[in-house]
Amino acid sequence: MRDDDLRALLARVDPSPPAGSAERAREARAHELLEAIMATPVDTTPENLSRMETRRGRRWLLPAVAASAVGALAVGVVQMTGGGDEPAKPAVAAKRLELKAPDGSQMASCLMFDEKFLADMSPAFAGTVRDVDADSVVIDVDRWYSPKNSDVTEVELTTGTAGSVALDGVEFQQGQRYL
Amino acid sequence: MDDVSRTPHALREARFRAAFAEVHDPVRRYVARRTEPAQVDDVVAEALLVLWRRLDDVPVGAELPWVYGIARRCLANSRRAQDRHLGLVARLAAQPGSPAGSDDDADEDVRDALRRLGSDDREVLALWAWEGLPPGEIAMALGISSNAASIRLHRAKRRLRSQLETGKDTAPAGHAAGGARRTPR
Repeated sequence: MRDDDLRALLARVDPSPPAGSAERAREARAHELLEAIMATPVDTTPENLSRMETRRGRRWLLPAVAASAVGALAVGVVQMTGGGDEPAKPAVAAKRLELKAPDGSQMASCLMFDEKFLADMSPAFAGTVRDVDADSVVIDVDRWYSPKNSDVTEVELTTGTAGSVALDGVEFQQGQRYL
Repeated sequence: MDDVSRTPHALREARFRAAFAEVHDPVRRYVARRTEPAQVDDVVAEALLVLWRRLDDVPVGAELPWVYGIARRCLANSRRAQDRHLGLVARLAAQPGSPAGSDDDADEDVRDALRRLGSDDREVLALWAWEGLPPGEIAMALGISSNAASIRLHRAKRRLRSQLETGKDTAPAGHAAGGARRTPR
């Protein structure tokens, strides 16, 4: 069977809804979406961080940065494998940071991470989970990407889920490392 | 006097508007093919927000396959968050079967053949046939090399052809869609 015939067969079972009567409504929604997105500041560094509010039990994500007209950008939670790639930090008095996730749609893990991307986000860090309970998770931070010179050594997260489709249902586990 | 329309911000906005006009409908259809209707708006919005945020990283002229790649990851998040695995296979399975002996038998054979393929094969075939992407853009959407995309597409086509031949050989005339196939005696 030739490629053209194969493609024609597949086209017959394309599950995409046909265009037509809903076109005008879709165009209006598209325009609204465009304007809402462009109202989002590109620089999402927050001025302040505040404590997150618990909504549900054990589904967490890292805090989002500044809210936008459409929703907040969230640094995805990525479980890191391996280890030992970061130099051991000298023992210092623990300085704790409490973080908050804003409401609205989140976008955890839609992006591929690199240092440049992380440097544009705040906060962005890597660390190992020390404690997990129903209300919070505490992470021992071993590397800060943003801000680079943070002296915070532990982060306490409490988070809520607002029903957004982009919430990354990552379950934190004690002893595991996350970005 | 400064030309406001040529400031970096204005140029960026202009580029995004043009990209949005180009990608919105195709990405919407891409997402609609792969998730429930109730999730489409959110996933599309998220993917296009990423485009806005990361526009400077997007190769000029490659906005569509780039956004497909983002949407693909947003869909994966959506499925994880919803604790569901509705995707292409489930939507295919949910489509009503065709009456025995109808002209839609051939369509059901194609759906059956697709269901028997792996998810990677289905995705690359969908990008090729439904999104109409050439191998280079399939590579960008999947985050793999062009060579890997070409090979993956070639193998997926071969496996689909094989499944279609298998279905043709074993299915008795007028078989009921979705039902167990009787092997010829």
